[in-house]
Amino acid sequence: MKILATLGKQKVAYIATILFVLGMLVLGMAASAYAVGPQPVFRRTDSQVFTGKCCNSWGETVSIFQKGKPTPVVVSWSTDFRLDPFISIVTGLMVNDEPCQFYGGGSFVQDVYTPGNEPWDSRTLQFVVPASEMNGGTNTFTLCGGGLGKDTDAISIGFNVLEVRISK
Amino acid sequence: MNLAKKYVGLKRLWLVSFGLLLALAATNAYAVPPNEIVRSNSPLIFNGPCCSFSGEKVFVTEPATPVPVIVSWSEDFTNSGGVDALASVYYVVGLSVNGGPCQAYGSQAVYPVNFVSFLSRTYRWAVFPTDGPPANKLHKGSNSFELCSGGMDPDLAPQTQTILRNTLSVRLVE
Repeated sequence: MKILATLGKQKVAYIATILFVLGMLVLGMAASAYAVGPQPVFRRTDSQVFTGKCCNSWGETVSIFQKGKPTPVVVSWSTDFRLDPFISIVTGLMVNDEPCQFYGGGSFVQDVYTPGNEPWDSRTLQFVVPASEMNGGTNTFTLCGGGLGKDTDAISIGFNVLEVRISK
Repeated sequence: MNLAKKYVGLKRLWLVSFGLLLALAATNAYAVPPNEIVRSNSPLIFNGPCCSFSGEKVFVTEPATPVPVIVSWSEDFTNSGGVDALASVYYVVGLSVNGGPCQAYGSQAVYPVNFVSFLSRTYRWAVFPTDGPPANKLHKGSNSFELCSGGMDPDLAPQTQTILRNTLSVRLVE
């Protein structure tokens, strides 16, 4: 009380206003964080072509929130794809924007077909990310990949679903 | 002696009961609601162009505010058509949500094998609460998901797919 008395009414009102504004800002930021929230499922319904040697981000990201110490997660990717014969493509994940790593089977090859006439096929891949590679809170998982041969190696990716869930 | 036998008998009875309780608890812990999964070992045949409905259906119960669902389908299959035909998409597979039209909710391509062999594929589809017309959107309570498929190449005749063992399942995204 003595401190308040020495500060004077005007200064107290000034400090109170600043504290109020700061409080509102913090609340606003928290609300924004919840509004965006983690996105455990991503679906894309068009075709894209990725060209080049491994590894580049393919731009598809999912995220999940884990309270406290993280536990392993399973990231599933189910996709249509098409590529030329004898081209090998590998895929992996960038966890929290770290470099592309391989967390399970992620290779694509095409059976022998006449070049230029390959049919679309589908694959479902599962990556297991260990707890040691994640932080407490929200973690992001971005699909990445590329060819094992030439710079011109390319893969067409069609409709696909990327999902992350906690391993139970 | 009789007392001792009775005691041993009671102990055994207690142990058996305890074991049964444990088994029951374990079964419940692993149980998936029966409507959320269908496994079929009998052949499923799709004839003709896209899309016809399979009759294989799973259901999931949505909360008051619907959340996305993941539907998985795993199959052993063979089909007509394949090598050096002109089409790049021979067959597609999708879902009818709440009786709506057959649509793709993720990967949809079925590889052509020209009846040479059986292959195995797994599809994982995501259905969001915003998908579809109002009549077929995800809603509070029971929602249905029926498998559908068909041929995409009009020059390919007959457009026949034979599916052997397969599993269709659905779950809410937590």
